Amino acid sequence: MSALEKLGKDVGTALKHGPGERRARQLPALLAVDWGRRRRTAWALRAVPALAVAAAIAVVAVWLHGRGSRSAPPATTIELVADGALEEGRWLQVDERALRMTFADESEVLLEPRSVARFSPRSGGDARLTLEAGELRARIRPATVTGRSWSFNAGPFRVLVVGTELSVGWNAQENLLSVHVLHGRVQVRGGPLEPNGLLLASDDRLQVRHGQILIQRGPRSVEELAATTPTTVSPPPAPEKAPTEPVRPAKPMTSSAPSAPGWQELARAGDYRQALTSAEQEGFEPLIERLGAADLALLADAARLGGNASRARQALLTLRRRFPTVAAAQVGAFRLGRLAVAQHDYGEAATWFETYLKSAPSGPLAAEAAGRLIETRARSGNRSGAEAAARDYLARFPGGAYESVARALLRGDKLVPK
Amino acid sequence: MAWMGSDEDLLALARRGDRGAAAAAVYSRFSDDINRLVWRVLGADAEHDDVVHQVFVNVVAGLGKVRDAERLKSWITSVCVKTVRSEIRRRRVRRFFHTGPSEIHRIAAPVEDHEARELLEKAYTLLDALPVDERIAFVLRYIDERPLLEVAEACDCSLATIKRRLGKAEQRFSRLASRDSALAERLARGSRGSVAPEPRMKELA
Repeated sequence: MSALEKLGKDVGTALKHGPGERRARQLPALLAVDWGRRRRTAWALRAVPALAVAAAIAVVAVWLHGRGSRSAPPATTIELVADGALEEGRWLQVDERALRMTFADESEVLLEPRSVARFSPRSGGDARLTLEAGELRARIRPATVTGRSWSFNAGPFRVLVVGTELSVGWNAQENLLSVHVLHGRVQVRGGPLEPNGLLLASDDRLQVRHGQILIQRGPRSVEELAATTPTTVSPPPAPEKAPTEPVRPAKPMTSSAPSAPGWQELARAGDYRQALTSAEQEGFEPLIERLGAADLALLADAARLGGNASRARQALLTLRRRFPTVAAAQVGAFRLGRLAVAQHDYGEAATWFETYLKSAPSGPLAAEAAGRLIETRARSGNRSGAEAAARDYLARFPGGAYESVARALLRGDKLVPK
Repeated sequence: MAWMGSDEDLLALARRGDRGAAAAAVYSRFSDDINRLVWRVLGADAEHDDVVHQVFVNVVAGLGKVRDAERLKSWITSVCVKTVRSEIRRRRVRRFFHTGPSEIHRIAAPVEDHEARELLEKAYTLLDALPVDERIAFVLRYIDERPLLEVAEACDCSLATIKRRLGKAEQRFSRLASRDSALAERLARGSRGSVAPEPRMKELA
């Protein structure tokens, strides 16, 4: 088996769990597809380039002429109580007639003709509608009243609704997002608006096209945003910004939003660098002295996987000092060994692998630690120690991943190219 | 409910125009294969369900055109590959226009084992850097462990083309992996552990 085949096999093994229980939602979503409607709208999908141009012209026209189209109702509208569609995560394809959906929380969403969207069922009381193409208008009851938080996704953007009436348009071909807040406040995140997003208030209009941001502040906006306390929402971007001023890149907010995820959440989501940054902002050193063992191990992993070896080492050493008897501390010894290997300090690495093997001789990483012990002893010049480790390895893990390394060493092969 | 009929029955269902029933039957018959393939090509992806949904929509839409029931499975695999290819290209366009922190968290920490999670993250970061056709060929060959002929069929190209594509993918992946100490170490270990490393392209020569 070649090295690439072995690597591919390991990746396949690591992925073996597959999507798991998430699959439970796939069949209901597939069965919810309206195949008849798909056929009727197929012509529109084939004419996407022409429609994209037409949509762009229409959006620009709306942009230039202010509120002209704000209240223009569609010629025909289908009404639907859509709590079921929300629960089931249905796809929605709207033909020539707009689709008005009402919900138990008294919120309303209107999908304009020829729009495509889909609900994402979420845990808790949240509701999320992803606009694949087209435009929607929504009147959302405040989450503080209904307990349901609404958000609209469009391409890489996410519009978090505080409680408002707004319209959102998305054209994937043109990479064009347009948001118009009629009343209330929303936060728009994603793409060039990261990391802190952009807060919009009444009468504000936002367009993001190919990374270019265009904000038109409404007359009520600055006052409303200024009145917002920092504990509830982020302050607005620079108030001196002139209406319709093109901005690139987005001006970051001066304080983080209250809903910004903590370092634990970021680490669990795999965003290690951001998790570490967040932990640094909290104060890394006091943090590692007060965290529990599990969180401390998580922080160490975030630092290690985020590429900051010194912080990872610091967290792991603290973990072992404060919680010497927990399993995470044993694994910590193995991790410290790996960090030392990365720093080419093979003597220290060997010591940590020995420490792990002494504390967890049958632990889940024992075979790996025993194999690495052979290599690190050999690399540190401890030939006799490496041979002893190789003999131990072959006795304990015959057929293991390091078998060939152990045998080569005992044959007298030069294991480490100088 | 599991589909108990044959692939011929399934195609007959599609030809009658009963797309809802055909969708349920196709899902029952092929959901494992499609989920596995999408999961492996994209990795543990936050939008996995959406991509799988699109694959099934494409499959059901084209099912009526399939004439040979024996070719159904390979046809569905090729539809799956084409859909995933489009998805990857769409994401690349998005990323091109929205530089900065990537909005797509490709690996959603699917496993408890940190070693495995790290391997997945690094491997799929490298795969992200491969041209899409090379990435798909590489995944089908090495991660999904398919024979070359099947890879060629799934990618809808000749054996010679897939060999060339895989050769380039191997070179590119190995070069990128050599820049990462952990992956380089893993590949070096794999080389040392191999009994008789055959040049890959000689396999079917």
